[in-house]
Amino acid sequence: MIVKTGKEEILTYLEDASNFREGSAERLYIPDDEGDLISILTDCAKNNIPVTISSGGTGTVGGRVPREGVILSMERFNRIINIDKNEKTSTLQAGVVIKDFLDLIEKEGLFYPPFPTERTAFIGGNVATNASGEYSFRFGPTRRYVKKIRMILTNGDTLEIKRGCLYEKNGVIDYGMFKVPLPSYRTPPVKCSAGYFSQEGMDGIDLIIGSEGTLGVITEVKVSLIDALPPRFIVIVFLRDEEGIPFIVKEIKKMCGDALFSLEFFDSGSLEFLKNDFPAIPENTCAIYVESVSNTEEMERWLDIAERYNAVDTWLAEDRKNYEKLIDFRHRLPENINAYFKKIGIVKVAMDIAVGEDSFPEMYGFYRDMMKKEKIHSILFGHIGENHLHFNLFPASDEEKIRAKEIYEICVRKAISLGGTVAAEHGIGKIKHKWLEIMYGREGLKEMAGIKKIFDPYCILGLDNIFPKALLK
Amino acid sequence: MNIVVCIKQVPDTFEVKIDPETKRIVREGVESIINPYDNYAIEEAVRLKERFGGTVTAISMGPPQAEKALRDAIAMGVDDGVLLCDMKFAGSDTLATSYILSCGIKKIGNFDVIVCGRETLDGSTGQVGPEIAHHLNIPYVTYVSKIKNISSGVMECVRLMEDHYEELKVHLPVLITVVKEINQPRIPSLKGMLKAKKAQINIWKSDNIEGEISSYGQDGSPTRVVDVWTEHMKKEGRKVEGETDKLVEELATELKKLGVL
Ligand SMILES: Cc1cc2nc3c(=O)[nH]c(=O)nc-3n(C[C@H](O)[C@H](O)[C@H](O)COP(=O)(O)OP(=O)(O)OC[C@H]3O[C@@H](n4cnc5c(N)ncnc54)[C@H](O)[C@@H]3O)c2cc1C
Repeated sequence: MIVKTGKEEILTYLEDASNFREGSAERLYIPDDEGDLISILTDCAKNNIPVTISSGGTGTVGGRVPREGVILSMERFNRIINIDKNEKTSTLQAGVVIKDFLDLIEKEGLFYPPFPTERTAFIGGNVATNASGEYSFRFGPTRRYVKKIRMILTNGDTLEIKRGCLYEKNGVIDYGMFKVPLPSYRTPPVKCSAGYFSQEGMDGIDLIIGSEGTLGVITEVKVSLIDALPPRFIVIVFLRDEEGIPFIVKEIKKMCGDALFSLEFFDSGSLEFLKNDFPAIPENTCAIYVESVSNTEEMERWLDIAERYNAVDTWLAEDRKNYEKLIDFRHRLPENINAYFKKIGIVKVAMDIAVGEDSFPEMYGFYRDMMKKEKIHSILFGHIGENHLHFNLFPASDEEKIRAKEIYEICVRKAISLGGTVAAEHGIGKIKHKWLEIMYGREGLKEMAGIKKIFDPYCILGLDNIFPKALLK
Repeated sequence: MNIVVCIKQVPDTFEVKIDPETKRIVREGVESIINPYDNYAIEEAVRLKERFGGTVTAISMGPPQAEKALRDAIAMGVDDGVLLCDMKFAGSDTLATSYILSCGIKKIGNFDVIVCGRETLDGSTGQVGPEIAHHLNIPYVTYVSKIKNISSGVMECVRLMEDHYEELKVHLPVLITVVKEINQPRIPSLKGMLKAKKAQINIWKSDNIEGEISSYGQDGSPTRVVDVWTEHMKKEGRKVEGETDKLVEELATELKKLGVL
């Protein structure tokens, strides 16, 4: 085990990919094994020292950033324990870097469907945030692929849960060592990573997935895999009709169905951020971006779609080089946005709202009206196939900052009124308590705090993640 | 305006494998792509068509599988593809290659501008373009970084030199070789891609073109390859772990040992 106390040595662990800058810790532990982990946790429990679990640090809500106490880095839990080709599963330690995992299983002709865009994330981080990957339109979030979790609790006990073994019954999930009441709120049936999962008859493992480091330390997981993907192409269709997008997307879903792996949207403002890298982007257009199974029939279908909706231009990547270029097109937007605003010193306000299929056109129209009405520079892009767009605001003055917060709240309330979620893929962390409270009410947050206290009676783990620690009193 | 673009299919690798016996490039097991510089040539040819009208024909000499390169060019907006493909062409050096290509271009006929990439990834001679111009007895401009205008049979273009640019005017028909700075090659459109899939590529054998057979292939190649090898660069890596202070010390010692510091 490595222990570090030097300020500079800890510095990088006091940040993640969010704007949260209130990190502070007195010590960093890098345990080698569960034995180390148990002694750290029981020691901290005894001395009432807060513990924050840290993985790849790619989270976007400050989840791994501690306000106080110690950091527990999972980087040495990096062993892939086995890959079962017949069963198509893998058991791995929580600190395995996603990229390493993908590279290894690729050699076996296998694929991990929910892999996130940011491949320096750890598998444990993905499970803790229920991350959704590049192909979540097709494959859904991490939750679907987790078959087993091994977790160390703050009292030093080990909890092992296999999917399909314990279900909620009569309002209770019985984990053996303790019973947990099912919260009265329900997780909406949309892409969602907001707070503890809650559904009637739910599997006990699903409470752990997406719990953002508040219930225990995940040390090992077993995940299911699928065969390597068939050849794919990417097509970008540039369109003028920004208003008609929800309708067009609906038609695309109807026409292409199972052939699609991802279905993304970039509004005209988002494309502006890409024009330096891709000067051929046509003026005054928005874009639909899809990845599809590659065959001539699908290509012809897309030509049909492009013609039907008067596409200004289409880009198609089938060979490796162009494919990589267009993957870069997709990944570069968030990077360019962040780089630009860092340069001019503006903190962006980024939303992660998703709603149901039927409500999406209304939500989209709502965003569009907001963009027209408000002076603040804003853009809209993201996972339109899952009714999940990232509405980003860039307030340029203090006045605009205040207004941006108000707009955020207005959008949150609208989404909730439509049965949606305030966090579709990035979780709540330390920066979205307020929105979660609007979604589930003060009561909902208190119920979550109650559940946390059952798993972590010392109330030391992942404090201020999901709900304010004051609720633990 | 009739535009011809000359392209070559090359192995997609930085480390070209050479057969130690034949001294030729081993193509097996390596994905083939359009010579990267030729993508700029294709793009510029298509842009010329878009600016001034006309048609673009891509021509390549190579094995049957080089048809794929021509299809990729069509996907980018080229109208027609011609593949010069015959065992008699095998073993051609730059002189024979440029001769065969010039015969093919003569057959296409009626050309105003011929566009080539500055050089190929595998051969890196940069000779084929100028030699084609020589065989066709037309002027050529190498390292073109911008075509400013074409009017009244005159092209105004800019040439990228080592430390300066040259601006030239040249009469059509003309051959140019282009550098990366000239444009950003487009990503194919859906329409282009589908057209490419269905396109008929013209395959011309030695009897389809008019040329001296003795100038084809090995017979027409004065160059004799004495030896070819790939330079093996040794990459080494070592991972060190431990406390920061010790790591810094170790790194400094290591760099001094290697003469970097
Ligand atoms: C460029 C970029 C693109 C991204 N794209 C996506 C995307 O497409 N989809 C998506 O969902 N997210 C995305 N994210 C967010 C991020 O990658 C995911 O949230 C990821 O799952 C976080 O993993 P991590 O290992 O970096 O975790 P960290 O940031 O280190 O931690 C995240 C949270 O999980 C907890 N945690 C970590 N490990 C454990 C463990 N072993 N046991 C218990 N709790 C633990 C931490 O305490 C913290 O609360 C992106 C981020 C970036 C920067």
